[in-house]
Amino acid sequence: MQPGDSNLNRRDFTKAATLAAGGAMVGLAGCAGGENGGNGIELEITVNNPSFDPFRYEYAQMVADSWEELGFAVEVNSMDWNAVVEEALIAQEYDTSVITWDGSPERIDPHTFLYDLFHSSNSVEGGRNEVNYDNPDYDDLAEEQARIFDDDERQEVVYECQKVLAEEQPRTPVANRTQIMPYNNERFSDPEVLIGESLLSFWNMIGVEPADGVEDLRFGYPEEVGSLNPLDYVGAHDRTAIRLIYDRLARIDQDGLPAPWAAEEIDILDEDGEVAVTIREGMTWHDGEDVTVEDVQFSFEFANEHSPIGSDWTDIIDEIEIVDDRELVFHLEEPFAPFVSNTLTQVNLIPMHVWEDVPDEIDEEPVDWDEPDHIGSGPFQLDYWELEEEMVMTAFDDHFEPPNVERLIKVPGSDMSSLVGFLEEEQIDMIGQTPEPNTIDRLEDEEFISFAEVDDHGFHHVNYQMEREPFDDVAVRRALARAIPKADIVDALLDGRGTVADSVIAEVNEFWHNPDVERLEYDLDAARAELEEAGYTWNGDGQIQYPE
Amino acid sequence: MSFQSYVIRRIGQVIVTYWAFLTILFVLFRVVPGDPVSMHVQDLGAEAREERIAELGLDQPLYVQYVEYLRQLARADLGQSMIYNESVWNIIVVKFWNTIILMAASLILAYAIGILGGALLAWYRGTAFEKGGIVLTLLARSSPEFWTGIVLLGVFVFWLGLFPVGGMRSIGSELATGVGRYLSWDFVYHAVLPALTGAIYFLGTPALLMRNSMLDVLNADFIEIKKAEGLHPWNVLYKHAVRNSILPLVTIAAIAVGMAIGGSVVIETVFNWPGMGRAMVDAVNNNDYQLAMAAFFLMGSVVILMNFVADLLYVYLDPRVTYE
Repeated sequence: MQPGDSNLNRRDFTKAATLAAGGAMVGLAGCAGGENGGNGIELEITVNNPSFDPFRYEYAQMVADSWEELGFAVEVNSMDWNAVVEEALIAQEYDTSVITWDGSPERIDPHTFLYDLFHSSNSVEGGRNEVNYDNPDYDDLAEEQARIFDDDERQEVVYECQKVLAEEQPRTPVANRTQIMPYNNERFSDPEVLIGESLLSFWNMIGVEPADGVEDLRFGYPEEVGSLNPLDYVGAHDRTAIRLIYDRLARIDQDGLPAPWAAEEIDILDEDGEVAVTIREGMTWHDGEDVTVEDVQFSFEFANEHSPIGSDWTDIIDEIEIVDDRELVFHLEEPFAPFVSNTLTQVNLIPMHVWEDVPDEIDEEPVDWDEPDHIGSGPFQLDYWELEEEMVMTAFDDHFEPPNVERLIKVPGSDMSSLVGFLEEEQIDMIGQTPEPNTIDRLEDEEFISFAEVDDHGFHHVNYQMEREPFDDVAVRRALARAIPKADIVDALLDGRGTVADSVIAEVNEFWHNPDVERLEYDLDAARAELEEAGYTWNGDGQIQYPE
Repeated sequence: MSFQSYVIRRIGQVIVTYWAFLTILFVLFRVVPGDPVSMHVQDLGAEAREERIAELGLDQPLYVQYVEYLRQLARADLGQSMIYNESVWNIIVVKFWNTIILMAASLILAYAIGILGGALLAWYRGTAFEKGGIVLTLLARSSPEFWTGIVLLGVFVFWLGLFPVGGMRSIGSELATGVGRYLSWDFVYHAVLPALTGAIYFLGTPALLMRNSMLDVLNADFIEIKKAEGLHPWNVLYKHAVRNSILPLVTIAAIAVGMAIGGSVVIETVFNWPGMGRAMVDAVNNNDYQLAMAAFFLMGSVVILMNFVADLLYVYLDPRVTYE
């Protein structure tokens, strides 16, 4: 045997012994989590690998360094995004994780971020409350905000929710990124941005101003649309294409508030949950047929029956009553304030005369049916779609708000850098995603390129698995939150292109954001004080120990 | 053993290879974490997510899914893409041709230049031409495709502005169907750089192999005799040396076709080429099992079949190879 071999064996043995001991300790504790090991309390940060999103990966390292300084033994566990989803989001097997919630338009309404992410009923496997926050008082508040139709009254409860979350820190919001998307200013001007979507917004697709003679808007995005089926709008990016072809009764306007769209008027008849909708006059489908109240009723009932994601929005509807040839009344099972901003802005209107035969005569599940003509009533109609090449939509001139361009051409890029190349060579006009900071710096030198800048209400945050020790202890969460160098993260990693976040409802979401929530600013001394008060101690090496 | 029984035995081996290949393929995609809805987990509630998984049949035990997968293939059905909600066959057939045509152009270019270059390198053995040539060949062979692609982009697109930065045709141009899409100048214009990138990457192997093979042949007595007969040197080179040296390249060329399809992944990403490679990467990223498995299946099939063809061709072309 070589001398090196025995050395190796010894090391392997030690490693195995440590693992076995660790396993026994985990077994005793019942469930894994921070342990008083020889190195103090150990914790792991689960994060995606840098190829998926370098920003999250890098700031996880900064957080780890800072938590180490506080006396925790921190290990950053980076993995493929799919594995993060499996472990941290679905099975919820993690200590802490670095996650982002994207800001889609319907999430400007605070319901998703306040209810779905924190209500104890969603604390199930695969549920959105993957931190397992369980606070009955908070549950009451989250339910109450969903019941109040009056915006000003609801705002007070929404503020209160944010206050509780800021004190309890089940998740620590870290930053809202500024979305900076480049466009060709010689071909287009006055982009119509929306928070959370910037150039990708619906309003930009119909409203951006083309220069004289420009007929095509060539829009790049580093991902292909998956499906144009109006019932299968699973992917966020799919929805941005589907909503151009299919109208909705309401849309989120550029102030972030729901506004009637295919509806001419929306009235809350009764605070108990009766909403009257009058549809616009003279609307037609792309095949020339009239859009009727029956179509509208059909769209909601059909989505409820056949669309897994659509039924999430429509479950709340008890009955849809047709009043006359332009008015319907939605009777809700219980008051649901986000009904207009979520349900009415999300359910696609589909023509009854096309879809009613599915699945009876056309033998396909509606979510799987590839409707050949994609007949909707939206401002664009599909011309053709060559997968991973381009999707070409033409303006529907009979629409009540026809687009400013003749054609919209969606170009999927194999990655961001190839799209940037397309933009620099003037082969596309816009990119619907924020490039990395160094690419932005380079593009800034090009005279024909401008940027649309708007903050995202989607937020980057750190999660704590509250069913594990020590994250069930509010003092630990608050101390960890105080040890996250949010300002440095925004400055160093984003070049200042972002906002430090203290509430799950972003500052840019002006109406709903509570500006007075407690700010746990970066302060290691304050963090130590919180831990000390809760009985935690430090050993001679500065490693943190559980209370005796 | 007769030629027939040799062919039958090889077919038997191909079937076993196929079975092993399909099984590994199936297992590979099921053991990696994630499922087709992973990417959208934050857009779906827990309930909607489970519904979707059940709809895709992914809640079934693994062996049931495996048997169903083999059955489906036996019916010559590649299944339904889980992301695009469309028959995998429809998606892949266009992409397959996009890749085949690009790679065919690359390989023809690579083998034409490679064989000719290799022959000349051997012919001019010991000269500065040979030394320089070998260095260049090795450089081409060892440069990663993405690097070659980026260098070509930098020079011909961003600096000289001669070619488009990517894609297969001008954005928004009239869409031709069928063969028409490959029969336009616009297509050729877009294909030049990606094809060249592939050609540079592939040409090293045939060039070096040809050179070695030529050196053997050039040392043979019959070449001396041909020279002594007073034939023109080019005549000796082309008619006698090259023709006799080309045999080993047949096998390599057949295998290279298979490798090229796989190697197209990088080129297609760099040049935004809508082919199999990109479809494969997207399918894997999105855990679209059916689409990904079909793409690998097609690619693997090309490799398996080309190997089979190479074996048969070899026996046919070289009488010294026996069936044993």
